[in-house]
Amino acid sequence: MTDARLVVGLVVAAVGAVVAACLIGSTPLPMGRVFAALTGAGAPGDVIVIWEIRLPRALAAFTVGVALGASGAALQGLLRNPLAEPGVLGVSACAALGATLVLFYGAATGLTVALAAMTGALAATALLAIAAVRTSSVVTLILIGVGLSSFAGAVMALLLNLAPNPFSLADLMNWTLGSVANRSVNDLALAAPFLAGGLLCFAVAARSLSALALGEETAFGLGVDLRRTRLLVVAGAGLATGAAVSIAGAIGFVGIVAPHLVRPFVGHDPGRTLLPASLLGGVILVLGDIGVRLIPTPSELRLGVMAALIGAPIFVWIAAMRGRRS
Amino acid sequence: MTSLILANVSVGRKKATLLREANLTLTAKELVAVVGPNGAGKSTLMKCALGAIRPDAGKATIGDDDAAEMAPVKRARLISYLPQIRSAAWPIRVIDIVALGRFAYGTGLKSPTGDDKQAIDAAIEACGLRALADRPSDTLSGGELARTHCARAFAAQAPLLLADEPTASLDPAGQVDVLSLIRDHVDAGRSAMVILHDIALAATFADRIVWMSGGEIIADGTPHETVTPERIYDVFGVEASVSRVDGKLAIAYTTPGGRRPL
Repeated sequence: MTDARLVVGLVVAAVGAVVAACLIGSTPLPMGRVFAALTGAGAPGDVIVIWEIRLPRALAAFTVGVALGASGAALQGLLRNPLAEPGVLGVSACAALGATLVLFYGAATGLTVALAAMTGALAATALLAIAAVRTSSVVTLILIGVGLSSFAGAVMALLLNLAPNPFSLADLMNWTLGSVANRSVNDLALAAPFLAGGLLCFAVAARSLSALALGEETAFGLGVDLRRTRLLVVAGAGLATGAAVSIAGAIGFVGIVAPHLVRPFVGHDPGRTLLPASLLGGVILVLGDIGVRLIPTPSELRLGVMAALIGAPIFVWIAAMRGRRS
Repeated sequence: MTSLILANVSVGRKKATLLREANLTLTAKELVAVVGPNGAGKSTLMKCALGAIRPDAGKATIGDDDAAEMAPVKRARLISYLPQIRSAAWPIRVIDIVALGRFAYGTGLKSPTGDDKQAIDAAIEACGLRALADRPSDTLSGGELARTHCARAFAAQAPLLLADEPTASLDPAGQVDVLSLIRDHVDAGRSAMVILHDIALAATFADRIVWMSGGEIIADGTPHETVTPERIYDVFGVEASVSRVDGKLAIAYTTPGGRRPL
């Protein structure tokens, strides 16, 4: 099976990328010391650098990439549109809004910010879940997402507008830029159950997403429970995206690029795209984060900014190619 | 034998009646054509039969179950559905489209095996798709895509088949191709209800023709009983002559100036 080979290749790439991320940093650590630290046998300083700083950061980048890659692939399957991504349903924006609200009112600790992001994502998800049950139209669902996204953006602009001083303005901006710097194992542990729940939803919906490639009417005839599939994907995208935003803030376009790259290798089957797209999403963000650390800029480049700089032109290119074909 | 029964089925939307007290039974080895002008309620009738629309009154029964209440997978094993053909959202391969016909039997994500593989192979063979099996669907002609979807519907090996205008936008050869495939499928011991816009095709391939107009079934019988100039004028508002050539019906439209004012 080519799928199995693809998945194994991506897992190897992911492990390689995470190890590489541990090797690279402001304090040069040779290979031997990194592996010693990874097994816990190294010098105490090395162990701290690896276990407290580099590994959590690399794992955070990987986790966020997995969540966004999987959400993108699932949403694209459901909406039958290669341009769909977590941002389309407004879930990212609402999650980021939740986080900024907490920051604005000064109640910010790692935990409250993460919980607020998750709450924002789940609120958006719940709203979409209600809409998904009531409407049979995917276009309506997208439009609701666009509305949610715009509203969250407006409230965030309002908060920036009202920010009492430059420091809180910088705090708010940091969140919207998206970064995995200084993430701890605790941040990951908090997000993990939500991410797991989201991925489980996608796994259950995978076969139905394949059938949906033939259109909703045909899928209905094939025995797909359309309503249940919509609910699973919307809930899964809410949970996974909420988890991603709680770790790293808003990072866009991974959810579009990763599925787009793997699709030709799995016969364009939306169900079979899910797993490799998640893994590739993870690999992309780990590599992207290494890039962010290597590029010498006066203040560190944010991962979300880099993702947008590379991802947005690709988005336009995919949209243009799609227009040409149909 | 699983039969499909529509009993006094009515559907209304926003004060308009889409379907009024329709009665229809589909039994073994029968190919029933449903004909009528646009807006006559043909698709609504089919969606009720499929359980996709819950009737406001009356009941559609598949085997022993209420169509609108059936679990999706159970329904899909009894009835396969060929909606008006649209291109797939992604350029997936012919063989993968046909394999989706086995969805209700749990296929997907992995290569099909056993009964599923046999059913898929048989459908590919029956529809002459062997040479096209690995082609992406976006490289197919209209006729090839129609045959692919027929194979997909046949692969389910369900006793009942519902097809909504399977011949739409096909050239004459494509139309005859598709209806021949459905005819063979029915002759192998199944039954089918097919919406058609071409009375001559219906008369050629169907055992029975159901005539619809204004949301009602106004006639139901063999082509020889029901295809008459009067009925064609009543239902479609065009003048036609119907003659019998070697026991077959020949229909010619004699329209110029003859369309009934609507």
